[in-house]
Amino acid sequence: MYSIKAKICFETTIQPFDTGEMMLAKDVAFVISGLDGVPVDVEVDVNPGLHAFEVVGLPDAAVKESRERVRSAIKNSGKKFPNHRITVNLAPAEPISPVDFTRATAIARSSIAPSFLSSADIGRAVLLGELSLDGKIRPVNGILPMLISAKQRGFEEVIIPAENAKEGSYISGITIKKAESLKSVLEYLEGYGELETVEAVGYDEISDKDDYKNDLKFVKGQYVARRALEIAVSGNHNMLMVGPPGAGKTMLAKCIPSIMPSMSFDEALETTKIHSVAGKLSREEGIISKRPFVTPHHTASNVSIIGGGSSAKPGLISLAHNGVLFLDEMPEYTRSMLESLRQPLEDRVITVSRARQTISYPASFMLVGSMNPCPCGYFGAKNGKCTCSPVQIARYKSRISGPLMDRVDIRITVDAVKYDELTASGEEESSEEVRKRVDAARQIQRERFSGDGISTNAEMGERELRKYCRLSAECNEILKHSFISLNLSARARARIIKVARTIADLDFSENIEPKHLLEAISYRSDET
Amino acid sequence: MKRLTLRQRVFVFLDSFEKLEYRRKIEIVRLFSSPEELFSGADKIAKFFEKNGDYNSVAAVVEALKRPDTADEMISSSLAFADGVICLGDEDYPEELKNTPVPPLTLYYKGNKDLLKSGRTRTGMVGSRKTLPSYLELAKTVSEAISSSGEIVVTGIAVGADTAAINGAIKSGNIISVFAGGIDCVYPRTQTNIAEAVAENGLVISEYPAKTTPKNYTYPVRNRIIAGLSRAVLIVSGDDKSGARYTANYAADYGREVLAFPYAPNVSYGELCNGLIKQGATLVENAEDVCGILGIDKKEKQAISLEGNEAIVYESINRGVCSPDKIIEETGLKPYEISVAISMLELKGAIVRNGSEYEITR
Repeated sequence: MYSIKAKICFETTIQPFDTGEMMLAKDVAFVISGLDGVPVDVEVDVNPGLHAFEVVGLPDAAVKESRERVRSAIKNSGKKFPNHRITVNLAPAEPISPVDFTRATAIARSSIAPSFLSSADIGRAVLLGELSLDGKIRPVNGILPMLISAKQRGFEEVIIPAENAKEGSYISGITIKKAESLKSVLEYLEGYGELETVEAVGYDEISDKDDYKNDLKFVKGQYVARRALEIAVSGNHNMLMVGPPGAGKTMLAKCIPSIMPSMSFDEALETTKIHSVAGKLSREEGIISKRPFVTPHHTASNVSIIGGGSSAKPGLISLAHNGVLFLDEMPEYTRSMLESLRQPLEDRVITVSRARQTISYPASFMLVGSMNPCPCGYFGAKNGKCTCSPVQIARYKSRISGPLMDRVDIRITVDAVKYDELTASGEEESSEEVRKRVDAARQIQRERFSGDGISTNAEMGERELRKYCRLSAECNEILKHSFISLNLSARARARIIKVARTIADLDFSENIEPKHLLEAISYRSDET
Repeated sequence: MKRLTLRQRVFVFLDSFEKLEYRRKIEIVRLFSSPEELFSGADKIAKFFEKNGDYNSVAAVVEALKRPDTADEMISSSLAFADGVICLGDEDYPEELKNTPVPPLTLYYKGNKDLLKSGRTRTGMVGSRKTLPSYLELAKTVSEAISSSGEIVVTGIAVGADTAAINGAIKSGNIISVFAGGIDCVYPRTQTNIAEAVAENGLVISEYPAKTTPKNYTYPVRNRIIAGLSRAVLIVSGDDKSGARYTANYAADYGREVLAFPYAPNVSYGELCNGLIKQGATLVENAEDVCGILGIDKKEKQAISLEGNEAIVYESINRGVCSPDKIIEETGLKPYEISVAISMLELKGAIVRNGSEYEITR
């Protein structure tokens, strides 16, 4: 988020000041707007005169405080701050006005740097980082998007804080150096020191290491649920699990990332960008190579889940981009929060609008929910009595609205596993095995939809349904019959066909056959 | 204003005093030889009850009678939403109900009032709101079977067993739903659509005037009407606290047939039925049994043909192995094979889903 694009040198090298000559330096800094690095022109004018240091172009008073940081950092790097009149202008003022305090600090800082330059050398290296008083360079958020932006704009070299090195190591085609302190940077730029180059790491090397904590091989029993998970992930269908407390709904959900197809580099970059901007990126990992699994608590505010705040930050649904958003005990979430998921579920992107800016964050996630059949959890159980009144049950169920349920293609009931089964030795089929089938099914979908702008069955609209999901007369008969005898709604039709398409893909079947349709019917999400 | 006889106006007028007891109403009516006298007989009522020492209970009636406009207003507001009323002593008052110890004085109705005719035969169907899905299916089948051959199904308006009975009979229109409050007060409110459908195709009745909300004590009182209208009462489900118990007791008291579905031991909401059977209620397992007892001709139930895995899964569920996971463990079939078989069985109407398990429809 902070950027200094500059070569920094010593006060002693700035000859023009001593001669009283005027010197103007122009430079470009980066700030983060949404998920992009946005360039900001920084103009620095150094005049002979009484000692002064002014920053103009930003209304924020906080920016001016950064002058002290720059002064101290330079002093503690063993250099001397120039005794001249320095004016810094930031333009355009508009895009940087909403930035927060630290960002503003960085801009001011970056603007100071050129003033110590011999004007000839400005321009090639971009320096990103935050200065501490003792001259160390601290890590910052949003390194990845700024690096990408710098690369697109044709810069050849970037110096980043050493602690952000991991994050920077996935960008190739631009030289990336890592620096610990301002002093080492100055020495490097002066030409008598070296900075360590960050070696580009192949994405494949890390993405191959799959060490998901939860694996399907540890899930005992639950055959139908396992199968449903496989189908849901294969077609990227949203899913709801209903079952009594302790049935293992959460455990099943946590296994979902382990059977999802590995993230491609582009997907990983997209997700990492969001995490980087939100400051949620682990410094050790540097890149999100595993599909995120986000579980907001049901007391989380709408803004924290959807995104927002005065600086329009990404919310949890954007952090779940390319991964799973798991809502445990779904009816406990506020109605308004659940309803606000409808639009991102449809568009796979969320537009956060605040008075000063409007930003679109990607939010393509698989929604997985869990709920009890009633508030006490025992409704419909043969043994064990439900203590809820019918009104309570109806109210509980109605917290998840019809339009939201419309976006849930698969609904399964999960039953508690017996103690014997839990302690039984032996492992079930591992996530890796399941993922192979998922990968194959996804591949079929990618090929099929290559010209349609979508990649999974769940995204199919009416047009694609007509094109790719023709039903035989026999299938039509089954579907028609099921509507009458199972009392299905018209909306259920599209959902059943989509799921049947995924089941057929898992079966490597060109057409949807009756057995695929019948299986899909068993996962129908209509409450009967 | 709906056309009422003067006699009916008397009953409706007295009904609008919610706190006026049943026996006070009888006493008031008996004071007069004709309805005309009653509307001008405020003093007579006052005098009679002052003498008998309970003037307070009828004070409101006396006050209202002194202002004729008020009486008219009360009558028309009681009649709101109703198509009309049938009063005790009217020609079309159902004979079976009249022969009970405490027949309702007034029946407010909406819908097809022919269903109350004395010649028709009626069967009550009541049960718990939390009846298991398989029994709901069964209740619906029975209701459909008997109503399609002219028998009238009498029930309430609650969710669960009542709704199953309504759903079975609504097509033939042979359905009476008895409310525990005014016929405009549908409770639970979610049943409004069903109540409207019943009023449209069948009949909705209540002994309470409009705007009377149902109270917990009006349900057992209402149940005497269900039992009183019916020649037999089928108890679908219930536990110790179920209101269906009252209906069964009334039916037994009135000398009507009590039928009950059997349940496996320890099945929730099956205790009442098994208890009734122990006490001598007739055990019925299916629509054929009910038709047999009621003397209705009914076509033989068609045998369901099952193929391959369907038969295996059906057999497992029939033995009480009801959850798909357990069937998979037992039979070694693949999950998707099970899902296909289950869907097929569901479509054929052989099984029904209950939470995570499936049950045979009997």
